[in-house]
Amino acid sequence: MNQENSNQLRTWQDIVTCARDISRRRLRKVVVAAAEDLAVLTAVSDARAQGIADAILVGDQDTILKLGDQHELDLSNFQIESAADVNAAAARAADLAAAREADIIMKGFLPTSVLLKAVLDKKRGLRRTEVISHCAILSLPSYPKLLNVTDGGMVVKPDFNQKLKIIENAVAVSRSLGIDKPRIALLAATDVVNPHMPRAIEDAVIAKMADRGQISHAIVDGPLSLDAATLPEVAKFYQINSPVAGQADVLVASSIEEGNIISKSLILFGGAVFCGIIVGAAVPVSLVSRSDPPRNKLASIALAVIFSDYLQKQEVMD
Amino acid sequence: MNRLKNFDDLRQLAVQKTSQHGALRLALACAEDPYALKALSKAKALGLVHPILVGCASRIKEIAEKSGVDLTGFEVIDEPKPRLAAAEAAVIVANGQADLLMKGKIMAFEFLEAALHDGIGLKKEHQIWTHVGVFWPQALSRFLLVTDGGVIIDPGLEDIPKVIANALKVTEVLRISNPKIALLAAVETVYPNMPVAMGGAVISKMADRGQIKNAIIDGPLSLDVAISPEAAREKKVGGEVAGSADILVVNNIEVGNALCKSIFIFGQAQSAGLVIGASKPIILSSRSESVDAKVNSIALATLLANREEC
Repeated sequence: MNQENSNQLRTWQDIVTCARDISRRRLRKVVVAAAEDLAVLTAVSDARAQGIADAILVGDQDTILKLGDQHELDLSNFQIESAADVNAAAARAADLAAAREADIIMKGFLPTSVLLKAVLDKKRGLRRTEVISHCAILSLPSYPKLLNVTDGGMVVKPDFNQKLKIIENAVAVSRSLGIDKPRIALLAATDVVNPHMPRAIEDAVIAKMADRGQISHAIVDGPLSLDAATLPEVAKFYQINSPVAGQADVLVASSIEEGNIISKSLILFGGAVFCGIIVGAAVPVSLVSRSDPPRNKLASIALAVIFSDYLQKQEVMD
Repeated sequence: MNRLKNFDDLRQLAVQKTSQHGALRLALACAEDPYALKALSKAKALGLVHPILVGCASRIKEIAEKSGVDLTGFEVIDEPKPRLAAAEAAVIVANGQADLLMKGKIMAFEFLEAALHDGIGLKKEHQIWTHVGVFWPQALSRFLLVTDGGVIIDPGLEDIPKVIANALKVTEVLRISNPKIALLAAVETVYPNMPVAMGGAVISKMADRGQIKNAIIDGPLSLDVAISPEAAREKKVGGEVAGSADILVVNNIEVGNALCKSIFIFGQAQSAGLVIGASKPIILSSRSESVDAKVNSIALATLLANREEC
């Protein structure tokens, strides 16, 4: 059975191109909460220059304009709104998203927790899934497709149910990238079910649940170690009978440390281009960090554009 | 003495030492493994080891022929059952009939269970066994160690000083004096809701109080801050370790295993892997590491064995 979709995005350049196509139909809008942040201002002005997204900047207007001047960023066409403090900025950004005046929320110069509190406030109705998780999408020179690593950013130590929700969130992100039935590897230190390894046992149970059709739109297997998950020759030589082995689209980690360290290793040692997204709200929440190179920042906004388009289409279908 | 710069340096030193002291006897457990056989034939040609193959003799012969390995000068002990072969190889080493133990085609945990058995005598009191991965990633162009991604599933706080002590035996052979050790986490900030970051803070304070010696230790540190001076600067993390860690200590086997594999698969790093803490060095490289990595591991093991008991 051929699971490949001709629209499957395989590289970070594909992500940028696809987002541009979406914004050509209707220019998508990012609302930045606490936009007085140079990395973010650079990212949104670059994104607009490239036709990927427009932005509304909410925050400390004086600082925003000053940063724009100092660093010669063209902010003239952005809508800028003043907010008294970061809490007010987060609230306003979430309100704009709830009112559908923005497609994407972006984190500026404020703690992630402050932003998420506003986004997930019940009165706004923006929570979509039970668990809010992070997906890192990595474009690697030495892998034939995108790798989605989750969760290295939000849930510290997922329990069994949270792990299932993290998988659901990752499936949605991978589907938005044109992978109809993503192949999901539940990462462990071995491929055999060693009764002494609690995470491997958890993975075996989840894989069996998937066999029974309890996880939709995905091919799930585990425990799988990283080499078995990503190297076809290892899967073959060691006769690991698995529809996921050697060709994983998604790597599911058992802790924030595991997800975080793998992503960073793929970036630092594997030369991956990285984009990230927070999943679980009705709109994607995007965050870029100071140390990200410009192409990572651009790709992160592009990813959010693609995922928001996917969520909006899903909503229409529901 | 200067640090060894890379694996070429390491092999050269190993060859020099064995040419002075003689080749070491190496017992390969479950020798029906084409990659291990190729590695041993290279190591033998370098004069590093005298191989003793334990496993199914007829299969070993067949696989050697298919892989173009000449078994002249190899001893073969016929034991077709994998677990028994692993135990037999471990016994040979424990008895002193061999100096080094190596894992062949058997699952790591089965191999370790057999070798770790109390009756065999490879275990030492007050010591734990840990895996140490040694890498030379292009992106760093220096040695980087990762521990433990192979033996201990969930090391407790009380284990970490021993995990570190084992890794220090390897840095000593690599001539890295006062190695810098990063206790890896997802963050640099100590968040009370993140037990791994809390653990990193506790261990680094133990080190401050002189409870762990011969190393400079800091944590929690995230991977980028631990090894990249730019990331350390950007995120304003001070200290001696940030940006220049030699050893990365991880909090569980999944993290260590995936980190090691990501470095040699996607970072295309040269590598070596050993289990430290037994009375003799144990060569345990990942199934997907190259033949070259296995030769590196053997070279490193000969240096450790020549150094003293391990």
